[in-house]
Amino acid sequence: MEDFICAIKTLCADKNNQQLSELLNKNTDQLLQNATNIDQVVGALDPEQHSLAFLALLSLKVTFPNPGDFELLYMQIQQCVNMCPAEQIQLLKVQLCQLCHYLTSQLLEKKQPLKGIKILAMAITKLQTSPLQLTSVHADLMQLCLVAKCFKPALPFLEEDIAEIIKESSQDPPSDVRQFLLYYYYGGMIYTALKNFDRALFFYEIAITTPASDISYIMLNAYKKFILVSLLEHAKIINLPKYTSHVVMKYLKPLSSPYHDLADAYASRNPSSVNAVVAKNVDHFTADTNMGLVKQVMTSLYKVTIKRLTKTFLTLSLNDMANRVGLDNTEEAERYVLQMIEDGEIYASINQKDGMVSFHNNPEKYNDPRMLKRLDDQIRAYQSLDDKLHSMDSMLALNPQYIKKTNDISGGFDDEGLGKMKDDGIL
Amino acid sequence: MKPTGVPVQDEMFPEGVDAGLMDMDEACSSNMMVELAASERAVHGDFFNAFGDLFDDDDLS
Repeated sequence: MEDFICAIKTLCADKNNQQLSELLNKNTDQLLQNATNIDQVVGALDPEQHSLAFLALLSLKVTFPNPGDFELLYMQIQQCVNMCPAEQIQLLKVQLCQLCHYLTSQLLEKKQPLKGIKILAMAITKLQTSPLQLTSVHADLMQLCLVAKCFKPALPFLEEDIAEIIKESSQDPPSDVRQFLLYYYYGGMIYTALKNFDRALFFYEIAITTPASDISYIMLNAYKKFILVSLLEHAKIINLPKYTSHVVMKYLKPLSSPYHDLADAYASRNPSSVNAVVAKNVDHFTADTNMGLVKQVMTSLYKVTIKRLTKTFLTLSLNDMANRVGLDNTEEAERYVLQMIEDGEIYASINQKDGMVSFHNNPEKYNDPRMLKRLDDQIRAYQSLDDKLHSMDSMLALNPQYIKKTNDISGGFDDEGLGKMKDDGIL
Repeated sequence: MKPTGVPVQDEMFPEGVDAGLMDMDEACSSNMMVELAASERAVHGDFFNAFGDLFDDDDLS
């Protein structure tokens, strides 16, 4: 064993990765006998100096039916992720992803999700060469954050608009698709929990509109949440883009009929109809763990109706408001109005003496430095998005496979994109 | 410019801004009740979704 460790150290020092790989493969049988052999070798290595061997051996260890003491393995994975240099990790992406998947499943089993969040966040940044890249570890991180109900560490990753997917393995594409869908489904859930409904809808929409020939349960669950969040944000189900796979749309609606019934009742703006649909399908919503969202939808109906009243009346008594909205009493109406004023959803004041609500116009004049900064930030964000699109368009136009395909289709005629590239002097 | 009385069409979206969106009712046949569990075309049935109800505001109070 000592000769083997010495050989690893020498080859790592010489940066002879080819021979190192051969050496590890040749000794796999001996190493596979038990996890203690691997622990002995790993214990003698420095994760910074001998990172490739360290990572390769750990990825071998987690394939064992019994990889030994979990606390030791956790510490080894932590060391590996924290100390192995990113450029070495780039050479063994598949192995690091395997380690992260294993760690996630073990921490979930042991009900210790918080312990993995920092490690996975670090692993992702080392796997990426750009923050716009999606790895299969992203979904694991989102999963741990959701189970731990600790969403903040996920946000820096979710806020990046993904432009590239790091392919983990060419032999196992379905796993990539699953992780892709999970990332967007879990990401949507995190934004929903944080009440960033607009961004949540974007995430669910990506999951639903992913080109598909089969129905995925992940897509189905994303679709159900999409309907509820859509009602919360827009008071109706927003339409999906035309490019949504027809096979998906054909099956999703019949399988989500209680949700569509709820949306239909919501459109009637009648709280009794909504309550009736909820009462009828309460088991269904509870089984989907969507009852919390359904309750939010029920509450939002009252708010939508109050908002509509602001367009008709300048003043209204709380009693009249309770009757028009369908609330039980004036106290409840007052509670809703105060909450909506606090959230900035309406501009109003309540006269406690006569119980009258006065509705006001939006006091925002759009001329203060705070608003101008917000406007400036939005313009910059759109400019940056435009630059990204141009850069992706240029990369696609220079892709040999794309050029061959467009040439085959157009019979030698350039399409608009390539023509533009020629005009620009790039081709 | 003088108002002509004719509704102005957005030049960027001559077909209307909803042209790129799918009509959900048109896309789905209402009487097509398909049991996904019985279909061979269903995948990812075993994905992890046991988070409990994360969206119940009553839990916060």
